[in-house]
Amino acid sequence: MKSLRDQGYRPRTRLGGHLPNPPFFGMLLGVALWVLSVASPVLADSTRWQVVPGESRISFSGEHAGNKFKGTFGTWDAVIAFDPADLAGSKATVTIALASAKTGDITYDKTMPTADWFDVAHGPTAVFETTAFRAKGSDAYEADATLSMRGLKVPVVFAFTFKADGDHASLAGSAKLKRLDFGIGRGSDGDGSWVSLDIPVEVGVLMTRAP
Amino acid sequence: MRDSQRYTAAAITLHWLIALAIVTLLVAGWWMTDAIHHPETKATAFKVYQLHKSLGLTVLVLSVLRLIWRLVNPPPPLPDGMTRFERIAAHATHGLFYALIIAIPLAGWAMVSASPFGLPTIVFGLFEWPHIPVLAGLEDKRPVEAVFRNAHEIMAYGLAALLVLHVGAALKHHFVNRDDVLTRMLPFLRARGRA
Repeated sequence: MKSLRDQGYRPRTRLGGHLPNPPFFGMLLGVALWVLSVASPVLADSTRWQVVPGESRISFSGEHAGNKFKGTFGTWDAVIAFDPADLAGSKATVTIALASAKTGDITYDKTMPTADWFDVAHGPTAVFETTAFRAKGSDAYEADATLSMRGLKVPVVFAFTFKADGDHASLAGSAKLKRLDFGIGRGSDGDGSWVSLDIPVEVGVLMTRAP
Repeated sequence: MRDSQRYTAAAITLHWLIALAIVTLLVAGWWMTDAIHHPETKATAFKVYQLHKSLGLTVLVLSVLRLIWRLVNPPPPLPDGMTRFERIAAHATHGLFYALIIAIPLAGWAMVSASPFGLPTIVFGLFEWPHIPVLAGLEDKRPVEAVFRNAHEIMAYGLAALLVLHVGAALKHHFVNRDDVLTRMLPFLRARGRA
């Protein structure tokens, strides 16, 4: 896994480009909003965690023409504040570079970025953002979240286990995604006769407590 | 005189490479277009499709090379004893052969380019063969893909029929007319009965 920031990716300001005159005021507001959007997780009370790259992966799988495939996203960033004792104050935002999806099959890897699939030319990232957490007993939790990609924002449920040991924590979870919810492959294969409609996503993350 | 009675080594090599590829393509194409619809053979059929595309493009390249080679190195003349009708039939068959072995892969390439699925063609898993841009950029690809798919299939059946005629004629020349029409295209042989 590589960090998005290492790849030159910068969060876009949501209003900066659309504000009316005076331009200076607009720019100032844009910068202020950007700082807020970047800094807001810091304001959360619960424990912040930093993902250990190389020990963490986001993968997806499915079936095409009867052949199983499995892929990973090589480039993503996560801002995680999670405390089992303070689920209300917990929050995770994961930004995934869609162009970094690789299955190891050149035919698939060349197709995924195209317009009918991830359409990276029009939306380079997928953003996963939690809205609520529930404890499911022992180390198990569930997060209500939204996943935004291809211009669509879809509610998803992410089930995971979280185990903290001092300054280290591990998280393993999965979400059952349906590609048509995001319009993925609708034009080429809208009924799943080629590519499975269900695309499970697996997440395995090692984290260290943020300083 | 012996050399001018035989095809050149390059022409013989190209003929048999293309022949082998075409027979493979006809069998693979006939099998895979049905097998892709059955769950138990779908996975294998998909892989055969990818090989079919690679092999078909190989035939396209080899056939263009062969046509150029033929224009530069004219083939040996037909045997003296042939009637006017036989000569016309032979030339027409070969002309149609050249047209088909170039047109069929072109139609296949067009059909892949116009496929809504947009799968890239990776020649034998080594490098990407581009789509035909004007077709890959179409708004509504399905009807265009269907036209080329039908053309590809109809021409392939035509080629299979022509192949039967071609092999039959070669055998007739060899066993009935007892001329060197077959042997002059066989590798590792010398022309029969001429010195």
